[in-house]
Amino acid sequence: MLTIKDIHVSYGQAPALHGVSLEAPEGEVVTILGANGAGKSTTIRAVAGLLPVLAGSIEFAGQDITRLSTEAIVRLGICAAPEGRQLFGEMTVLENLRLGAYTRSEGRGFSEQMGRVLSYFPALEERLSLSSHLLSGGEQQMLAIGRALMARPRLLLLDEPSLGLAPLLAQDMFSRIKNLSDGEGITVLLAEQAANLAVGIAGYGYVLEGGKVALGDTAENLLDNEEVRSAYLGL
Amino acid sequence: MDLFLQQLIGGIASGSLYGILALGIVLIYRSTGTLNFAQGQMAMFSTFVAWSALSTAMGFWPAFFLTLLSAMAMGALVEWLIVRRVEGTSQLNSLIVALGLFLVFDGLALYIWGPLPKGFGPFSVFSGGASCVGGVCIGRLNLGILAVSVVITALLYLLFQRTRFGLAMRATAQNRLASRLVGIPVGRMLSTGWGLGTAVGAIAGILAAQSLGLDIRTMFFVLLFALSAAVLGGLDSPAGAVAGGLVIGVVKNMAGTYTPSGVGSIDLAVAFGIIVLVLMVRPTGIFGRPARRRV
Repeated sequence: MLTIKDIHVSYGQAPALHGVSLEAPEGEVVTILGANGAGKSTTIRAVAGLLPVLAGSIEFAGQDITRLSTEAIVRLGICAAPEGRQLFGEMTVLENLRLGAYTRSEGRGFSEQMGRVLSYFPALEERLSLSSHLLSGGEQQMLAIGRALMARPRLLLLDEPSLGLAPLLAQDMFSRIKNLSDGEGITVLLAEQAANLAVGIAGYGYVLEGGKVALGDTAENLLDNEEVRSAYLGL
Repeated sequence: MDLFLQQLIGGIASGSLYGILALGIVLIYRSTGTLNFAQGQMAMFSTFVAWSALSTAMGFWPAFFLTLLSAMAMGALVEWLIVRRVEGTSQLNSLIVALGLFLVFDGLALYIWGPLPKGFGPFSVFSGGASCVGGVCIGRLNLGILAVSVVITALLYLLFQRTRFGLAMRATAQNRLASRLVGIPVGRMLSTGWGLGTAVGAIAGILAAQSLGLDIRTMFFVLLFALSAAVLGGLDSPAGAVAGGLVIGVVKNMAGTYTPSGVGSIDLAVAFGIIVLVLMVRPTGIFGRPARRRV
């Protein structure tokens, strides 16, 4: 579904990724692990078209999307719940969901899709008319993911969905992510510091180090790998 | 009492003119964060376009819509060609660009239409007797300005609150990154914001020229009051722009009426004194919302 081949990305003069390659098969949850500054968020942003890719290529469903604008990428079916959630804070939950469906505004489809989103995140239902900056951290994260789902993506990019959540809430968040990936057949690319939780729901994982892929394997093998266990999973 | 009411109504009428131009300023500020000092000169330029269009035989409505369309295109083009280059750099850069635009439109208008004032209206709908209730009267022109400002405010409200396009405009004003991520063509929204703001300014210019006549200085004072109105109401709030305009119009009129004569333009000093006082208490303006962040 998604194939990243040897991409190089910089922030201004500072190189961030030196040749990252990874693959996300259709319907799978694929997690990107690594320390702070290893390039997890950068990879997500590059796929979303938020950063220029200097070399290498990104292919989605057989199409080269390396140089497409974020708008075009969203229209192809790749949606992101970015780091820091990036909600429209002054707007209501409903308005945020509406905006999520911006590329898909056909009346009937909207309420149907909203029903599905609310079935994964029922807590949002009674908050629909509330201004989104008043939501709790967990609810904000649900809204960020829910908003991305409103565009009916085929690939969902998630950047640190556990950030700022208490351990139990984080665990709950990951099982919801797994559910919606299974339920909707959505491919998920998940950048996460809470590696043990992320690997728990993923089929594949990649470990980034200093802007390069240090290791890529099935989640099972990663869980068996002594080095990974001690360095990233805290086991 | 009649004098008070009379001055109140006069103030509301001139205040709604400031409010219209202030609305344009707010639309532009919300889209790119530029405090557009050129708003007045761009409005003046558009009014000259309207004057030229009216001096052909095309009739009022075609000329009016032609002016609006050209103003819209002009605003969008300015954003696309110039303002976008300095976006995201320092506030000073966008300030200098705005001042540069002021000079460009000033010079262009002078070059094209010359320094002599043009007769511009009042259009027939705005001429005729005043309407009076008791001893309090309102002229046709003032009534017209009031009506136009109500209509513009209502239309913009509907556009922003009731349409998908308006929702996307508000989203862009609030969070660019998030807007891109949901697939909103952010650049087009910014140009459209400038286009709308400039078109609203054109209407303010046409109305102002009805009583002030048309030359390159027509909008100087209107701009000054409109800028103050926008700041007073809160630069990111369309409702605040209109309210700020009304407050300034009324205060200025009252100050002119109830302060001793012979002190010159004491009304201006009083009006601006009040703005300073309000901003000391509410630095973001009456309706402006302080930036809120939750991590």
